[in-house]
Amino acid sequence: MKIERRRFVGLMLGATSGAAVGLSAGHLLSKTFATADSPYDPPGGIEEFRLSVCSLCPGGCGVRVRCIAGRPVKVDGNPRHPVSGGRLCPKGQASLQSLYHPDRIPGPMRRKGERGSLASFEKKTWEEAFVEIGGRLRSIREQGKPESAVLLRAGAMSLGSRAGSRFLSAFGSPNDVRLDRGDEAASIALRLTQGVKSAPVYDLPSTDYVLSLGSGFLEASGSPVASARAFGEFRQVRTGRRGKFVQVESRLSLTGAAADEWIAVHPGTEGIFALGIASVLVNEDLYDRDFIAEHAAGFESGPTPGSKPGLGLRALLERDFGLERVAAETGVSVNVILRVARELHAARASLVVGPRRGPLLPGSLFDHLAAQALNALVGNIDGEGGLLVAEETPIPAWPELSAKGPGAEGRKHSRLDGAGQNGGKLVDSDPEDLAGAILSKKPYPVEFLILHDADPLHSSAAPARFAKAIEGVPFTVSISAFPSDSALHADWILPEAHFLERWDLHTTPPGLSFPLASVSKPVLEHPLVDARSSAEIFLELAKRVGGEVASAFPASDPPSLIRHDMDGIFAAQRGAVMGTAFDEAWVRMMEGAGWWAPGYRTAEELWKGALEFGGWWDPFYDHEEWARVLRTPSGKFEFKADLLDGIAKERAQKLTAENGNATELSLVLFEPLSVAGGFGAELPFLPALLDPGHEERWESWAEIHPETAKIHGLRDKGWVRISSAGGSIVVRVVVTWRVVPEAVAIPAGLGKRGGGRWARDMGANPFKLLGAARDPLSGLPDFQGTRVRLEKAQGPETGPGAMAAWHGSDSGLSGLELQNTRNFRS
Amino acid sequence: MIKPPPSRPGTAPMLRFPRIALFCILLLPILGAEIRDPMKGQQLFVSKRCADCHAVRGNGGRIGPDLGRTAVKGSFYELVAAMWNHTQVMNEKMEESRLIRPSFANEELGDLLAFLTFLNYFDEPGDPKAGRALFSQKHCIQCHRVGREGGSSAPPLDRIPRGTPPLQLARDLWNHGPVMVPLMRSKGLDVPSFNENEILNLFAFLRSQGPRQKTRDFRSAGDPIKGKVLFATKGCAQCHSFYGKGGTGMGPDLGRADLRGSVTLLAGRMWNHWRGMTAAMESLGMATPKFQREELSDLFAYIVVTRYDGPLADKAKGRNAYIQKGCSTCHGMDGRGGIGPELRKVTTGESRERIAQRMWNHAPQMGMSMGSRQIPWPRFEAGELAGLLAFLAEEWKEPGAPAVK
Repeated sequence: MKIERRRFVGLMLGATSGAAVGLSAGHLLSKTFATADSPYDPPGGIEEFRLSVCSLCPGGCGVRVRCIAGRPVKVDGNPRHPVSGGRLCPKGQASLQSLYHPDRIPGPMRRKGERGSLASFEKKTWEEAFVEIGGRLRSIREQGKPESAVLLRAGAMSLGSRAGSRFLSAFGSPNDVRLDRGDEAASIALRLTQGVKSAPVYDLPSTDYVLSLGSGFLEASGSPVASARAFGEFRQVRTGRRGKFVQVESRLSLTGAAADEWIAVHPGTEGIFALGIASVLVNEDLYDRDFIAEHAAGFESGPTPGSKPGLGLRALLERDFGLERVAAETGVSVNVILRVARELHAARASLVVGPRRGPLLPGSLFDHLAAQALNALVGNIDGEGGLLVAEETPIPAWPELSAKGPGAEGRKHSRLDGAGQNGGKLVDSDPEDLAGAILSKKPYPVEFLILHDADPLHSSAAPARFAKAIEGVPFTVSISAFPSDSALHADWILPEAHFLERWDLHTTPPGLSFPLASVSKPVLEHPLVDARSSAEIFLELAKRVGGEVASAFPASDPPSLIRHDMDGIFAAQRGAVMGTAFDEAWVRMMEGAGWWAPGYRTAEELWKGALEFGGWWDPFYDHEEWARVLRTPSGKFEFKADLLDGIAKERAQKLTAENGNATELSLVLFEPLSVAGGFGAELPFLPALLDPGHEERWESWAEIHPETAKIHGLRDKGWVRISSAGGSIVVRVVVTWRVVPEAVAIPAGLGKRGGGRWARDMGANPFKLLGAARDPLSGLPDFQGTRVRLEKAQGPETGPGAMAAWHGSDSGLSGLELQNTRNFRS
Repeated sequence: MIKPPPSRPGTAPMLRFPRIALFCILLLPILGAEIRDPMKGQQLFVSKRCADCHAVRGNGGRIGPDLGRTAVKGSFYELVAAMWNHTQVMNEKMEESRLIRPSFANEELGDLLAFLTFLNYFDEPGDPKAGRALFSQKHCIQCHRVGREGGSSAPPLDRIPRGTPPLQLARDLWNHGPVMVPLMRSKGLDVPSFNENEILNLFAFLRSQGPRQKTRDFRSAGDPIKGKVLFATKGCAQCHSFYGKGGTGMGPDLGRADLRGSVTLLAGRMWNHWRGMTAAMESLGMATPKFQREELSDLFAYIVVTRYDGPLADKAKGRNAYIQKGCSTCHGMDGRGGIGPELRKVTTGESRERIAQRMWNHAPQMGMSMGSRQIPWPRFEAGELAGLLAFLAEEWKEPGAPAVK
């Protein structure tokens, strides 16, 4: 199907607006689930509104739940919550489908047969689960091998996430590994240039010009709703001044569709384009001389404080990033590069956004470093409308862990994934290498694996390797609400309570500047299935292990743990209970002037206010606080031209080799909002919203430029086999101009073997195509560097497909549904 | 078992903020002022949707005047008079915007007025860029160093912890006066004085230069009870009066409209007054006061509260207003009502806040009734309103009845 650009942009904006305004989820939900005697039809009764926090992505949007007779029937944004501001994304709107999902894990499940099928599991009690799992953990510790326990986790910065980390650390293992690394490359760039370990914050509301290097911030940022709201402000809501937005990428994303200008570059050359812009700024003397003189190091060649003499940015740009060369490598005309550079300089406040494409797609470190360099050149580091550094929520430290004993000894071991400074890597987590270490049993074997909300068999860059690895682990526990691909390979599945069924405390999601603590209590009196919150599970496991593990927590149940943290926030004497726009401005103004008048006097009043309105936050941001935001050895922003130089050479060689190979294309991955982060296909609303620019629903597709399609004999709506050194998949063809001729673009998030009746066998998982290649500097998987071949295919290889599952399948889930229905009714 | 929150060394977190609460709990018998809870007032400002029309220093609606920047400052009577006189315009604007006019119950109006009063107390953030220029213009740079610039004869000012409360800087400046002023004169430099927001801007610059402390240091309002004691012991009461009460007339009356503004602006005016004040104090054989810790903050809290109390109400003036503004036409000279409701039953013995609240809630019906009779809306000066409220509270009181609440 061909869509004109105008109509396409209209569709995109329509979809974005639709997401912001919200879907009539209650109506659709009843249509989706209704049957003659459906347990999901709400009865008549008293209407109430209760607050909670959505956990379907790391954004942590505050939500307001409409309940009738105590039963949730609609979820909307909490107007006082600083992340959601009363709005919600489609995933949040569909969250009731995850609550009432017929394929939720009904209770603790113990595997009794082959891996990979729910039919192999039988339901057990929580006591049975804790007895066996706790016993296993105790035994490992008693054998003096606590380091052999591994926690692989993903998802929001929730209480459960912190409890899991704490549990593992107290247990005595350094192997706390994160699967979702969307912010990792950007964080490393910030660490290298500014010495700060956190994801960058882009001050969109206050800027006038945004140059985005392929970022998917509108569809798959750390908090899509907050990003969409910030974008709305950038587009004139508050100031009456409409900022200009330029998107540079080889495949027009949903974010790009909202831009004023799409600059189509050759795949993988966004960073080169940015350095071309930098070259113009330097050559034409358009950079911020004051900032460079006072707060930057490494601009000129020579020694910088705290490091050896090195190549300066100016020399690198002059030598390797001349306009003609950049134009040739990126495919962008010299005039466009010149114009964008001058626009960037002329704007009152301009911002360069790095290429984070989604929760699983961090972008290359080279591109992030190039974005950082540009931000420094235009002098917007920590300025209004510039690149900010988030402040941590002042949650008090939990009891200090003992420096002696089996826990301390275990923590001294090197990490299995080799991540972190001790392992000589820039990344904090390396799940792919973890899989390798499990397989090789080096440096030591893994005895116990906990998967918390993580599905490495689907969402890692090495799904096949993980499938093999998990078979080699003697004992695997998956804490998951759904029978995910990985959960089906575990020994135990412990069902996590839905966010409407549990106590939780979320801290600031990546990408937001302010410290925040969102507090939620259960909306439902009892979980609909026999589930528990992950915090509760870890606390119970800690008790079962006993000793220093049990005493590693300041409280023994989630509400008390949250109360402990909130009391610590009170003691920090800053911020306020979440409030209206006026309250926000008031706190900001007062703290800016050195005052604090929060509206509560005691910790008890803060607690009550947080429960009533959604939590606590501090909107005040202290700009140009150099000692906090520039923590490099030199105390300055460091351009790291040496690193850029090294990677640039390698990339140039790779690009030259690729350009000579006309039969292969670059694989461009993206994450549609509705399935970003590897979750969403489970809920039936969401696969219908995969991409508003196409008709494709409930299946994967490959976007191929018309010229490329012609060369390969592919037709729109036909099928194509896409092969790489890593593997192959078959997907639907979409012939479109929104991708450049040298690339093929495929959405990530589908292609699951588990996940319930709707997700199962829907589409293909493009991560199967990824090889072992790594980003040369960060060590992250090279998500954007895979080369693929196209071949006409006859049809999909996967099973009966989602629509078949919709009408009933042999997945073994019907029994599960019956159990859930009984639980609900009881 | 939930453990108590950890305390910061050297502070008692639970005790620092509630100073504001002291305004409503402890002041009544001690200061004679009845100022209520500004924190509740802030919540009312939002929940009653005042913020939809009114901004506070640029934050909020734009239909009505910015309550942080208008002349709606000062005593209780001035605030109520401004609200009352503004009633009809406000009603029209709210009708245009399809907003429901707020009414108040219990002590709500008092709480709201407390919040509006406290807008006077707290400072706006200054502009550090303007402050940087002032650092040179005011000659601070001649002796003090910030970064790579400045003299070395006085302590460097780039070590002041980032975010140090401005009133703390004002205190240090004041205490520094006996050394600094003679030194500047000896160097032939003009002793700096501060106009408008200059002191805020200069302090904003100094507050942004130093290293950050582990935790940010925000301050709550001072303690007016301690401030009252300080006002006497530091010798302020010797010269200064409030609305003509107290003092000897040597110093300016602190109820004066031109001396209003936030506490740091007040500190700036006090600094400008340094020369005259020290000379006057010397002539009285008094030492120039120095301030420790939170003393300046407490002193200014007392000044703000005492200003809120307002001048002594003149009941005779109130009687005249009751007649001349047409109140007696509807409510009767004896307060037994007529066209309007019987006042003597509802206002006698009531506090001024309660009476003002009744007036406010009654205004829409009154406006309609007056409009139908083509009677102009009565407007009050602050003094008239003070008298009127006293008149309404006391005029029809039975002999031996308890005092006004």
